[in-house]
Amino acid sequence: MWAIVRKDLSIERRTGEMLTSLFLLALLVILLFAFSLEPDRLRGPEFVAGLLWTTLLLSGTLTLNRSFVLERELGAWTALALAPVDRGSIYLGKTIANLIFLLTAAVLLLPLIALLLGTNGIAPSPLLPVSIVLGVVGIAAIGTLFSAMASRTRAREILLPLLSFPVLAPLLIGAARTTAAGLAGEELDQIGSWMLLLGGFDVVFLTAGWMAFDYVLED
Amino acid sequence: MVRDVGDTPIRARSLAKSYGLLPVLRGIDLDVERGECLALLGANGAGKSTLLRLLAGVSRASKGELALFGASCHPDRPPADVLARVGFVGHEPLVYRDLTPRQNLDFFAQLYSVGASAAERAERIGRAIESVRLERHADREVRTLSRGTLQRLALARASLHDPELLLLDEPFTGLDAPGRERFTQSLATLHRTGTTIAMVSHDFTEVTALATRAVVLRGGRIAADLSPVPPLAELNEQYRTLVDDGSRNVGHRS
Repeated sequence: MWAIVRKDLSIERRTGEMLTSLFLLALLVILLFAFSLEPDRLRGPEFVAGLLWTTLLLSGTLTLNRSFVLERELGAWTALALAPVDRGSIYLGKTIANLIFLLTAAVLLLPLIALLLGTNGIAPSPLLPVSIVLGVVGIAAIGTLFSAMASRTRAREILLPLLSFPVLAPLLIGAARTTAAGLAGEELDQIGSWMLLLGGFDVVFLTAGWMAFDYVLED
Repeated sequence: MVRDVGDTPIRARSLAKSYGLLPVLRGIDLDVERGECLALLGANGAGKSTLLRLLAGVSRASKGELALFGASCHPDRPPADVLARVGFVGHEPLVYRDLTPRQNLDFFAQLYSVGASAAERAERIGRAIESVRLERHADREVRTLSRGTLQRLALARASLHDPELLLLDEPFTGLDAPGRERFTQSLATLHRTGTTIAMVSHDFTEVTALATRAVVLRGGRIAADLSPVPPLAELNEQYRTLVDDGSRNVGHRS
């Protein structure tokens, strides 16, 4: 599993493709929002949280497509399928690498959004990083699994969002709600049920991906 | 040094594979004993690559029985200890284009648990690079390498963990004459040290130089099993008799 993570990070160090495209796409979405809405409406924790997750979902999904394209180039996918390792661990390795890319983007984007759109009503609490990690784990878990499935098709760029967006909708709602609460300085007892939903969602989809990957990797 | 390979590397009974309603393999019975170098011959669409992919564990058979080294590999995936005894060279090199050959080999060495320590792993990788004469290209990105160099890297990747069974799918395709010669020498060395080889090839010159046995597939079935492999002219003649006229040119280098 860690060999996969190290390999993906090593490729990213050499090419910078994933993080660059993820960050630039996200920046573009943020600027489009900033230009298209009235400045007075672009304020407060709810808007910042909503914008962060919409941006991460859009740019993350597009970028996750790359994750398995590089496995398909020169047939490395087949070599992975032949390796005497548990295929679930290959899924977990890919998910952890994608999680690192998405978390890096989230950490860079959140202050950028606050800086561009103002910090009125924002007083972050310790819940903020927890909500971001839980949300990003969910996107990475589902995005990695569906990206692997979509990479076998010619219409992978379209198929990945079509498959993943409906499944990610509850996660997006929960992540935006908890992140807004974290930005507004709320306490855990006010949003505990949302946190549980996020955590449960992550566990279910990580387990499903780990179990299903044996079939996904099949010829 | 000749290694003791143990159980029969390949044993297939009534092996069949269909894609949807299209049957590709229609019942293959095949035993490959240790130390053999088997060439799978046949026209395009005869089922050679499909058979090789079943043997490698890349895809699953629709029907029949398959055992590698005595372990049943159908309907389940081959167990990890069996996969660790098999190497596979495909149409593509099965490596990462944005890494160097050394980094690629290091990654696959970790997947196959090659070497007890990082130092031992590095030493094994160095030996693999030397064995296919890849020293000059070992630290250049794979994307910059020629087809012949990529093919030698593919062989280094597939043989890094000292597999007892090496499966190759048209390994000579796209190689120039010196490249073929180097590749043939590397395979011959592996075969001499006890590696059992099964390869799909359209290249009869290399087949007659390396193979101890040739199996001709036609329409998803075994049409002939030639052991020992006859000399080149005779092999060509027998092949033409067995296979449709449409593939008369198969077996000749372009």
